[in-house]
Amino acid sequence: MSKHQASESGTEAPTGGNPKPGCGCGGAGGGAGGAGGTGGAGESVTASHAAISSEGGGEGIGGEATVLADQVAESFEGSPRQGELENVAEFDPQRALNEGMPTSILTDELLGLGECRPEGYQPETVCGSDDRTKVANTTVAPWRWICKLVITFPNGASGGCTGWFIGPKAVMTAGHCVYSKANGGWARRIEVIPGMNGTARPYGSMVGTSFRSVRGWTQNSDPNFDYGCIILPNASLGNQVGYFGFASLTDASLNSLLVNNSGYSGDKPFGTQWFNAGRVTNVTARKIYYMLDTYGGQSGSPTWRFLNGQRHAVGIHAYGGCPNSSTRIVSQVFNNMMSWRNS
Amino acid sequence: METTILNVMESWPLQISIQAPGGQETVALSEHARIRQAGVLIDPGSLRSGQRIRIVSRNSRGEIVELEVI
Repeated sequence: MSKHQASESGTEAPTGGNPKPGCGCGGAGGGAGGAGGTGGAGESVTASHAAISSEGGGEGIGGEATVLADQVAESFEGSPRQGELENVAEFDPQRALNEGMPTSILTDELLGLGECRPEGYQPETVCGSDDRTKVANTTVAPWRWICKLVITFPNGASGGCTGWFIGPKAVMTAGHCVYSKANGGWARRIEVIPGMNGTARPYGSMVGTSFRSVRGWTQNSDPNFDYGCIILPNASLGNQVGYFGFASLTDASLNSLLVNNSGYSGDKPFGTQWFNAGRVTNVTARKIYYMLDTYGGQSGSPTWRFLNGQRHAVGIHAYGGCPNSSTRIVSQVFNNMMSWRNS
Repeated sequence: METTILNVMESWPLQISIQAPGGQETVALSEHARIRQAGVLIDPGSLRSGQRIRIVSRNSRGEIVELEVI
């Protein structure tokens, strides 16, 4: 059975097999079972990326894991009904970059960042010193593409994650945000709040009850396949705020790449979005590692490259532990995301 | 129960995968879970893969209420 086979909420029943032990952060080979993939005997890596929908049925997208060439899907700025606020150019990119990095790495893209500013900075230890910075204006791209997720699970538990629009109706997040074995399986409902800023909901919100993930996550709890998507009832919210592009990059393109991340951390005031940036420190077949500061609640947030005015997510943040890590957007992930974007 | 953390998933509250007799188990922390190390309360953000832990108590939903890092 293909791990890339689609899994949908409402119909997907995890198999009772023997899930293999998950791998720790930074494990070579990308996970238990190595390159051959994890899960039951005979299952292939291709199978683990079989896309799965919360509404039943498979989408059966497979393909090779090795990324031979970059794949890129472009971003869309959106058509907001309300005017964008003025940017406040007080963000100091050096603070985010200097953590273990030579200062000569500063690039124009970070110097040109005028969309967030430090606010109430309190030194904390996340991965070394904590230089997360609150996003002050969440009504401009890309911050408005990033959403606070309020999740209700089948066992009655509530949770929080981060999501980001990849299409008019599609909000990308971590697999464990849409499907949680610990909390009874597929989420019952997820409220998507783009650009949430404290108590402010500049674009309102929309509730999703249709979710997507892959068998590698829902059946095998394999961290290498920890990604999922929320399909919203209509495109009105996504068309208003816009959405990220995304890319499957080669190892060469990813190594030491300067990446950005922003999400809704659970240790900060509720509903505030926090940004951090740094470089990719390690790349495996299916994960990207970095020392960017993250915290619980940021699962599902985008890890993106900002280059030549374009923003392409390259990973979906999912794991802490310093180094922290994203599920890497490889070809199978890219293909599933394209399918979900167009659904 | 004593076990080892395999992965820390950054939902909020955190979910962790731990070594279990059948392979691995995913458990959620309660929102106000108390985590101690050497008798001192520590932040959930301090949890790391590979840490040895003792699950002291869980609630009716199976969420970890109290945990000790060994």
